[in-house]
Amino acid sequence: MIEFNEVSKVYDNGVVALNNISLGIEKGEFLFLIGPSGAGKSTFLKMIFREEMPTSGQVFIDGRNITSLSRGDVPYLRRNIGVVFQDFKLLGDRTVGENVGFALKVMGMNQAIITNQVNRVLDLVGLSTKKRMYPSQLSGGEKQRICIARAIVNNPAILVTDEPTGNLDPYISWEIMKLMIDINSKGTTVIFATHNKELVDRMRKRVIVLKDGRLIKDEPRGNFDYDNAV
Amino acid sequence: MNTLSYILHETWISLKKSGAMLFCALFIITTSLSLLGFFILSDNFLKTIIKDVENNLEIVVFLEDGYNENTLEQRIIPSIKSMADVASVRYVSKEDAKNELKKDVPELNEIFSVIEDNPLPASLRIKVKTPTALSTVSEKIKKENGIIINELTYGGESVNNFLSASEKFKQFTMILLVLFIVTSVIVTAATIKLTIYTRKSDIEIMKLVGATDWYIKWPYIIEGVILGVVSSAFAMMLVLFLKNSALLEMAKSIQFLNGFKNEISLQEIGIKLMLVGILQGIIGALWSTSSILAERE
Repeated sequence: MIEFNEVSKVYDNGVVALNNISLGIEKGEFLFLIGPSGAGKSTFLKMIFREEMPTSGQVFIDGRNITSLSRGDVPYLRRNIGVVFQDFKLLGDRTVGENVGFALKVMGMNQAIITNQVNRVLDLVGLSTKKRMYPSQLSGGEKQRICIARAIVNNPAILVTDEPTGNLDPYISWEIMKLMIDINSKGTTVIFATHNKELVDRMRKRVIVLKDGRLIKDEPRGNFDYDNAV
Repeated sequence: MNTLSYILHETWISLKKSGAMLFCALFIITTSLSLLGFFILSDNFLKTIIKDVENNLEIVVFLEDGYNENTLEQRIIPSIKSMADVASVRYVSKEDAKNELKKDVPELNEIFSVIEDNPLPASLRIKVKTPTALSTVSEKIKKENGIIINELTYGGESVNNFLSASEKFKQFTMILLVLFIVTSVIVTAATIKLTIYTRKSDIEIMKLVGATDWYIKWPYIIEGVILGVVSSAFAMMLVLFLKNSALLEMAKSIQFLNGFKNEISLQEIGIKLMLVGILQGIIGALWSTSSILAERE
C-alpha cells in the first residue's frame, strides 16, 4: 500500500533527515516507527502525506507516485490519510464537534452527514458528552482523542501518528493505544511514531528503527531497542 | 450551498479572530483610500480649471467698419461654420459690442453717453471644437476673401503654451494616479498579509485535513472585499467632508468653483474608491494566502 523507494531527504541547511530508505507497508498493517530524536521519524511521516518532498527517490501510495502529484491533487491525497500530532493542532476557537467535523466540512459534505459521522467517532473515542466543549476545557488525553477522532472521521485508509502519547501519562497512553488497535482492526493502516518503550514492547507489532536518517532495523514482531540495532 | 455557507462562516470566524489587526488594516486602507480620494478630487479641481480656460478660448475677428453685411451673412459666416474644427460662430455687431462692454464695465456708461460715435468694432466670435485647432482655423479665416479683417486674435503663443502645459499636466497626473493606486495596493496587501499571518496555524490545520487552496483562500478574499468596501465608505465620508467644508468655503469667494462644485461627480469618486478598495482587499488576500500556502507546500 505504501512504498518508499530509495528515498533520501536533505534539508537546505545540509541536515540529512532520510538516507536511502526503501520499505513497503501493507494495507491494514500496524507499524511502530522508533528511533532517537532527530532520527528522521517526522520527516518519514511527512513524506506519506506530502508535507515534505524527497530530495531523491519516490514514495508510492496504492501504486501512485505521490512525489509527482500536482499541487492541486495533494488535498485529495490528504483526505485519505488521517494525521495525529503530539501537539494536537486543534482549532482553539471551535468546539470539539466543530474540530472533528472540520475535515468533513472542507470536503463539502452536508451537515446531516457531518453530524452523524462526528457523533459516531466521538462515541468511538469516548468523548460524546464533550461535543460542545472547547479544546481549552479538555485534558491532554482528551485533546489527543479529539485529534484522533478528527483524523479518522472520514474513514481514511491510512492513519499517521507522530508521538501521539508524548505528553500523556502511562494510563492515558495505553487508552490511546487501545483506540489505535481498534481503528486498525477495522482495516486502517496505522503508522505510529513513538518514544514509548512500554507500548512498543507490549504490542509486539512490526517495528522500524531509524537512526541518523537510515533504516537500521525492520522486524515483524519487534521490540523497543534501537541502541543495539545495527 | 454547503461550500458557500462554509465560506461565509469561515469569513465570519476569520473577521472575529483578526481583532486588532483588522482595525489596523481598516485604518491603513481607509487612509490610503482617503488620500486617493483627495487626489482624485484635486485632479478634478485642476482639470475643471483647465477646461474652464479651454472653453473660453475663442478666435475674435474684428471687422473694419464699412464691411458688406450681405457678404458677411450669406457667404463668410456660413463658410466659417462649414469648417470642420469650428463649433460655433457668433456675430457681434458694433451695437452689441457696446452693450456687452457697458454690461461688463458699468462705469463706462457715463463715457458712452458723451461719445457720439461708437468706437468699438463689430466682430465674429468663433469657438473651435478642440483648443489645438485655434491656430489652423485662424489661418484659414485670414485667407477668406470678402471681408476686411482689422485684427484676428486667439491668444497666439501664450494659448499654445497653456495647452501644451495642460496636456503635460494631464499625463503627469495620470502617471501619479497609477503610482498612487499601485502603492496603496501594495501597502494594503502587506497589511492584510500581517492579519493572515496571525492565523497561520489555522491554515496549516486546514491543509492537513485536505482543504484545497481555493477553499482556504475564499474566506480571506471575502474578508478582503469587506475590508475594501468598509474602508472605501469611510474614505468617502472624509472626501465628502472635504468637499462640503473646504471647497464650498472656497467656492463662495472664487466664482468658477461654483461650476466645479456642481460638476464634480461624487458618485464617480465613490465608485472609483470602492473598486480600488476591493481590488486592494482581493490582491492583499490572494498575495498573503498564496505565500503562506506556498510555505506549507
